[in-house]
Amino acid sequence: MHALKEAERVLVPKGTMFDVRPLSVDVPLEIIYKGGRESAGDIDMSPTIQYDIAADKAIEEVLKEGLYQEVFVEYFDFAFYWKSINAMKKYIDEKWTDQVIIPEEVIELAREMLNKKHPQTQIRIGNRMKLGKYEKLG
Amino acid sequence: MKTLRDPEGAEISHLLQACPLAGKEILEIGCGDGKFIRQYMDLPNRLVGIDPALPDLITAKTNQAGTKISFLQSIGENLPFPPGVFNIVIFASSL
Repeated sequence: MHALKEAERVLVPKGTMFDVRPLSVDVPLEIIYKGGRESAGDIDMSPTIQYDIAADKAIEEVLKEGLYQEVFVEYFDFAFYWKSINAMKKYIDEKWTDQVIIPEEVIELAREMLNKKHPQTQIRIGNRMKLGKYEKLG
Repeated sequence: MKTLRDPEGAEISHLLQACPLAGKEILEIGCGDGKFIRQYMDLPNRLVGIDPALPDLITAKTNQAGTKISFLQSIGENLPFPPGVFNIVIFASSL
């Protein structure tokens, strides 16, 4: 909330504010390969849901206060790719600590799918992203 | 063991479709180690990235030496700028 007010202060009149962030929406862990893709099951992104709620509330409040008006909100996938389960786990341990839960059965199914040795096989996680565009009022 | 992050460029392409950045004065809040900011660094007239994490900023500065981006250690709640100086403020995963 304070950061949004600070952003409004440093913006020129009619300036633009963007809110770009990943959402805590469950997404599939996919195995993709030349000619196909399969889902090994969903990844639980709920551990960070409180940040989504806080950010959405902050945006709602500055809109209500008349500091900004919403121009549009859109969503897209921000995809991550790995060639092995170990590489994926290493990245998740380093960068997404306590932010995602991957059920063991999803890992096991992904491992089975990888073992099918399709050509150009990769693991894919497509994080759901929000891009919100807002205009400073006044 | 490499991680490929957004090789399709979805994040930058959505931003570019949303707003022209050329010639603008832009502040990115939560620039981290500069992964996102460097994707559009050639477009604005002035580009400032702020982040509270000093190690990330050092990485960002090292990777962007010689460019026109300024990096500052700061938080979004207390921006060290006068009023009305940026055309665009981007909260990059920092709200």
